Amino acid sequence: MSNKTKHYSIRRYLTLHIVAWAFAMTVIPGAWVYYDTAREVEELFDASLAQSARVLHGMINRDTVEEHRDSITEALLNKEKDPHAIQHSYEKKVSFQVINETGLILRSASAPDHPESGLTQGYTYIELGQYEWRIFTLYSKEDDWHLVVGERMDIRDELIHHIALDHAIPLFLLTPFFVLIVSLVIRKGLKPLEVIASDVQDKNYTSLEKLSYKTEPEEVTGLISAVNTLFDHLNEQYERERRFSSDAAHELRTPLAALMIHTENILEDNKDTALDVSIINIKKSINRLSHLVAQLLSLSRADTQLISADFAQINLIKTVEQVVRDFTPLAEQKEQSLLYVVSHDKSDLDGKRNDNSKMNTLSITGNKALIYNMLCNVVTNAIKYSPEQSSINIMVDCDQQTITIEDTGPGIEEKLRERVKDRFYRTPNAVGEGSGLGLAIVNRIASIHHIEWSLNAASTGGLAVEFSLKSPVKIT
Amino acid sequence: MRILLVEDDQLLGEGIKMALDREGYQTDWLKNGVQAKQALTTESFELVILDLGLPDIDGIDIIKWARKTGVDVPVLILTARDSIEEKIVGLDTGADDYLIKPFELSELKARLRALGRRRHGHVEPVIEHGRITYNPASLEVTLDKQIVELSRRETTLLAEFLNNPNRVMSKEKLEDVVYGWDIEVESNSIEVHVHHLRKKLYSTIIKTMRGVGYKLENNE
Repeated sequence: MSNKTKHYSIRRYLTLHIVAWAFAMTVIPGAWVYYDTAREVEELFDASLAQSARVLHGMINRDTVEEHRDSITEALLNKEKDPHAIQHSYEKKVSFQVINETGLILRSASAPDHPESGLTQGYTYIELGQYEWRIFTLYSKEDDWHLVVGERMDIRDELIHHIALDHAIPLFLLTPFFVLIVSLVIRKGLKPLEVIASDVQDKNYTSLEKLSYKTEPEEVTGLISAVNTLFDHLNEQYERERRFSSDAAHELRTPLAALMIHTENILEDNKDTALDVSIINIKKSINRLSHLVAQLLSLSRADTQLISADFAQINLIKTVEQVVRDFTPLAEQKEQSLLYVVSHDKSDLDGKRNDNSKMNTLSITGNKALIYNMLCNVVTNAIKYSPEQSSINIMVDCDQQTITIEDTGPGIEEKLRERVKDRFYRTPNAVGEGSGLGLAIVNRIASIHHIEWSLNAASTGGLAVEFSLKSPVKIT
Repeated sequence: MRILLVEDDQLLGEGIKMALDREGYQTDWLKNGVQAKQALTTESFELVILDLGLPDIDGIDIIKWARKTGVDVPVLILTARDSIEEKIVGLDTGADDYLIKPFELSELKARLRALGRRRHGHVEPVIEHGRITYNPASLEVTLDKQIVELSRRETTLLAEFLNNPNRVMSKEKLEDVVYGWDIEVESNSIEVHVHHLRKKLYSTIIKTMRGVGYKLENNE
């Protein structure tokens, strides 16, 4: 119960796994590139901060500052506001302060206007107002002051983020294309497998010819040759069974024919009328035996003949008409009438639409001889079980796609209606020289053609056999 | 009417021969294909009943061979194979009718009569010749609507004349028809039968063609 086969798609499996791994293989280097670049850029920024401090240190000294403090201060503050300055997008706002023990000596416009205190040489982070700053402090011995150069961390971080991301992103850009290509390649690669699977699926008893392809992948060559070997075996088996049934026919029928003819010879030459009854009973038994042989053969033929049977489009109306024609004499022997009714699509009857193509069509793909045999068995039963001077209804409904045969016989008890489809089963009230195979043959032929059929109580009081052709065999 | 029966089964062959002989047919029975071919080349038959499942040659091949060599005798196939394809193959090869074993004797006889009628171009089941009628089904012969009692061999002989109204038939041919290969025939037996026919019907019914054979009198 629990070992139910789990189904999965190779294509989905491959696509999912390859894409997932490809994604992982992009994310990891991407992240690495990002962090490495960010670190390098940060180093670079720190270096440029120190560089700025040293440039500043080289440019100003205590004397120049003392002399020109006002003009320098003014220039610094105004210059910083100059809106026409050429800017680079990666340009950082570098701020500086020049501080000695007395206080702030010089500052850039963007720098805070109170001196930083407690400074040590080198790099440090400080919190100023709402921003964090990266600070480089340089102590000048000659001038005895501190040069404090700083950058706002938020701006710096944003730049770092931009630069690092620009390096990492190309790696990700190709991922969608990769996913697309992978899924296309997998789809194409697995195509032969799908073709073979659908070809094998389409095989039925009627077409067991070998699989052959112009190109076939090495991976499935083994499968194809195994399937072909299997088909060969099956064909051989069918052929053997077919020959067996044909041989059996000959072997059984010839002695039956001899038995029959000698019995008839006796009957013709017999002068003792008392013996006639016995001889006629012998003849009846032979007839019954012949019928059994014929039914057995027709059943085994339904089982095995399919390999050679040509499935074609059959017009069922014609087949039913033929059955009615062929069985009218038999029915007339019992003074029964076969009532044959074809009903069409209701819209065709009610409306004025005269769509001839829709009229009189009830077709199926199948073997004509088998379908004929199937209907014959049902009609023979109907004639046999219906009383004399009754009528048997054969109704073809093109709209509902059904064929119904109703008789006025005793019917079949509901609980036995499935059993009578078994081979050799005869109901307790079965009459005549039946073989118990008739409905088994009907069942077999119906199942070959995917015809659903059921036994019901007829409105006429007897048995109604209904064939539903809604899911006919596909043409292969 | 002379019939060639080709059937390898001893019991069935015996049964058919017995039944047909009683019907007034002259039945020659062979059990294999080689003999059948030989007989068809050297002898003449009105009908052939051929079993398809012979031990040496397939019946279909015999029909093919016969039609190719110009043997146009009607062939009734007797077989155990009942599929439609096989019926079609048999008929298309050149057989004239088909009967599946086991069969009712009455059906076999009816089919043989039908084939016999076609063979001689009759459409009516009863052959009429002037004052005489002959019913192959009941083997009844009437003269001026009165039933005439004839022996089996006399009936066969008369039927042969009625079936070939304008042909002169040699004594040897008539011996074949009436006796087949069964019995050593007395040299004057045909003369005796002709004599009886003339006596039971009327004297001018069969003309003697001196040195050649016999011929049915002209109807007019």
